[in-house]
Amino acid sequence: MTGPRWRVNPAHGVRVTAWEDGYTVFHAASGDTHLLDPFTGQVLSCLLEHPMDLDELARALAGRPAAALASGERDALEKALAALARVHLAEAE
Amino acid sequence: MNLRELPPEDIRRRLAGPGLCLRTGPITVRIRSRLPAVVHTLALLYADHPVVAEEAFCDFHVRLFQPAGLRRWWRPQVQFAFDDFVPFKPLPHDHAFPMLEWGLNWAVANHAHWYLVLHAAVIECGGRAAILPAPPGSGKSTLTAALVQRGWRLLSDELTLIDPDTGLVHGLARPVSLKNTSLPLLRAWAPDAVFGPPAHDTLKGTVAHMKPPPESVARMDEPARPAWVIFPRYVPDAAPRLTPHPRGHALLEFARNAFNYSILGSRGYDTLARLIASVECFDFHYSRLEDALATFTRLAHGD
Repeated sequence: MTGPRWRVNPAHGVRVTAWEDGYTVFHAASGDTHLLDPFTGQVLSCLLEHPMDLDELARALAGRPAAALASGERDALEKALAALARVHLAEAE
Repeated sequence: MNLRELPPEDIRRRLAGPGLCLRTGPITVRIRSRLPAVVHTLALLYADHPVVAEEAFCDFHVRLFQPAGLRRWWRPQVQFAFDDFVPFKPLPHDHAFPMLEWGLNWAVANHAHWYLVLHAAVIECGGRAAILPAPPGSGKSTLTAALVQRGWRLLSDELTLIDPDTGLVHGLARPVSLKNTSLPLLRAWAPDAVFGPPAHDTLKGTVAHMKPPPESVARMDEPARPAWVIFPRYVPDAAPRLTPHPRGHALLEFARNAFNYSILGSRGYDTLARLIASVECFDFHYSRLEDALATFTRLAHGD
């Protein structure tokens, strides 16, 4: 396992819709609506299926383990998780 | 019975007494006022709207009146009340009819929560609706007024009511608010259109309302299926230009500008997402009404 597992709190009532310019997300717990870039939206969509750690996310998104990601790719993944956590769309278990 | 069929003395009696009950699409409003300007302009601009029996249920009860006090002797004012709640500061007496219209908009936007209420104009042609969200000054009402005088049906120039269950848009077919340079432009564009008296020096400048076309009022109970969301923008001397507007951004803009999106919560988001998924979204820049009409006509014909 690579770091904590990340999840979308099922009690927060998160709804996601994919568009050509990104993902819109409704977070019922706060009432906020967000527009996410396509990559961050894809990360959130993965977490909505089930909680994942960094390694599982890397496999789901890139088809290889986190250790095999280029440093820029890993940074992007970590930044996406941090961005989701900042607006309470994802949390570390 | 339509308002035009009611004798003037009966209109005055109802307005001064139990209230004149008018139906504007799915909303019925009871209006009370003794102000002659309101009586006259209401009779002129709502002539084709159905009058409901005095004892009927009404969604909203509104009243326009002159506030008491000595001030009324040298600077008469008008006040709007919703039930007995007064949501606004009084305005100069000759702003009475615009105040009624603004008050009715406020009432619908703040109370008709069985709809998702978007801040946008909506018009229809061939069974398909174009929703026109835009900030003040973008030319939204001018464009709406121009198109409904040339074959498009008016649902609203200000409030788009979306049924969360069906996704259909419901119309009010109320007068279109026009201001400043739009007024001579529309008078020239549609010489037969009927306008109420202008109110000068309002917060928006000179304002007058255009009577909705009778056929729009006759069909106001007919909801429409949304087909387009078009963000219009008047750009001086610009050639007409219709370009795709990203739909994620469109949803976010509606979420920011809808009147009751936050009240409806998840239901509001689902309604909005369904709307955006079912339409094409465009930005539209224009300077001439003829160009705008040609663009909208092509759109309606699927060209």
